[in-house]
Amino acid sequence: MRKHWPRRSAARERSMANETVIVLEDVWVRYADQPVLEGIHFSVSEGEIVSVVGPNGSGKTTLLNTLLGFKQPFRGRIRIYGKSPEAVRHSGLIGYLPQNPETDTRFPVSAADVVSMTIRGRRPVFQRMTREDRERIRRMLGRVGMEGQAGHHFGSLSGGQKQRVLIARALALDPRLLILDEPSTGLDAVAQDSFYALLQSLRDTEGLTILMVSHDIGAVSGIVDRIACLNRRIHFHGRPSDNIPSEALEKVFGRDVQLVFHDRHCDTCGEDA
Amino acid sequence: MSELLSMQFFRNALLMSLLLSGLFGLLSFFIVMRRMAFLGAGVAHAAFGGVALGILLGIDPFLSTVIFCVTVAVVIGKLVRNGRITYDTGIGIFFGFTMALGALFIALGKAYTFDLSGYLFGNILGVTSRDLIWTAAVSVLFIPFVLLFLPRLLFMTFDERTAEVSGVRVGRLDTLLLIFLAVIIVVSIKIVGIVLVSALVVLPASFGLLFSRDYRRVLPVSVAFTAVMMTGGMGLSYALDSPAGATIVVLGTVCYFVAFLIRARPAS
Repeated sequence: MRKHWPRRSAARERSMANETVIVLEDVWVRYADQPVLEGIHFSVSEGEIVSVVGPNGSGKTTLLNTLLGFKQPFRGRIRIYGKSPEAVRHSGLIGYLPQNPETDTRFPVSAADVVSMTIRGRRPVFQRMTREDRERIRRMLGRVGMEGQAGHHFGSLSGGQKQRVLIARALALDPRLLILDEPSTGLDAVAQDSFYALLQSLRDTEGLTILMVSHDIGAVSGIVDRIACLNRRIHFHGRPSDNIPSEALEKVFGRDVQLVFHDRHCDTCGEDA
Repeated sequence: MSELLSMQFFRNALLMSLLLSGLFGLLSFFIVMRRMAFLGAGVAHAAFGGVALGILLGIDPFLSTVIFCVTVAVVIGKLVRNGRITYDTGIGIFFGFTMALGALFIALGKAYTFDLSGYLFGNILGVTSRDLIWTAAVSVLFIPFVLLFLPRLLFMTFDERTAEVSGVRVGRLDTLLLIFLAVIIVVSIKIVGIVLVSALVVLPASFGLLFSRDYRRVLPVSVAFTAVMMTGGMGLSYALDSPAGATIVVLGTVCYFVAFLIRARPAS
């Protein structure tokens, strides 16, 4: 495991730019004979931010569960860094951010304790926390702008702050791929904006590959490199700047969808909101 | 006090209580935070079926109960993990099933002299040296298990799914915890009984959580609370000549509510 941050040189980042991280080939998943995902072909390359978007019930959660090895496809093949989803879990390559973690607000841990979970969870049991670990936790919290809250009770933080601490926890694993489940749920517009800016900076400075699942196509379209529109099948997989065919949007979201791209670099966009 | 300590059964029971304080004080945290308190009640009631099975087959009821309760806890755990049923449904089914089996076994075995009340509500006079050795053996295994695996247990308890994705072997850890839950409940039945043991599963951590937002303090407070509740309850039961198990549980619950009211008062 790499010990220092940042983990890799810009040159190495570029050399890996086209390496395929996730491949799904003709993946079919069903629950009790009901097909939920049909013939999914999908890929994510190193160093890009990809979002899978679709309405509730479109199979996003199933896709994520299948990618994480919690649900087996009945047909097709999935490879993450060349390994099966179950095998890749133990490699420490994946950092995961759960949707709205239903953690008891009384849970007696601090923000720093939460970040330490991924570090200590994979350690040999006799190995204790070192000064280096503590320094690493501080650095991870600093990376997401939460250094000042290290000792704060996790349950008392705001939704956006919790989200950042959980990102720091995922980063503490030193992953190459971040998988985020509906990361914007429960965040207000300002928190959402700064959260997405953080994701972009993680991609740009650390070369992280980021896959997120979201129901909100408008919110993510301004920051992602590629977008996949899912409703049982993938109806579009490309750059958001490519014009997404209106029939693909209709199939995914229904007839009345209007796609408004949010450009993070647009200075005046936020003022009307 | 010296009069009490001169009695062999009381010394056994006191030592047993101190061992159980360590066990329940630590176990309670993981069960309460994972919202599995009802599982404690379910597994405890399965013990009734286990005891009756031992009597029917003419084998040591302690061994049959351990096997029976561990099986029930692990089977419920596996069914829930595989997404087949939810905890409350699984426990609800096994609760009734194992009690019914117990009643059937007793009837079939014609074991009319069986001390039913002792098993249901505890019988402090029944604590033998063998029970003590068993409880000590469980402590020797469980306490180091918690201390060594604390970071993993904490991660699993906090967020099972992310723990699994991050490389924690959640399935194994969960099964081990369920086996310990079952065995700890079985060894404690002599003192508090099947019906009352769920209080020992829930009260320690609930009390500890009133006093701290740091698990490093919650765990020792839970252990200390359990020790006070058990030894205090036993002393009180001697003074009042009341059943020990019931006195322990009433004392613990009253202490919890007093602490709850004090801690719930707005800070001035």
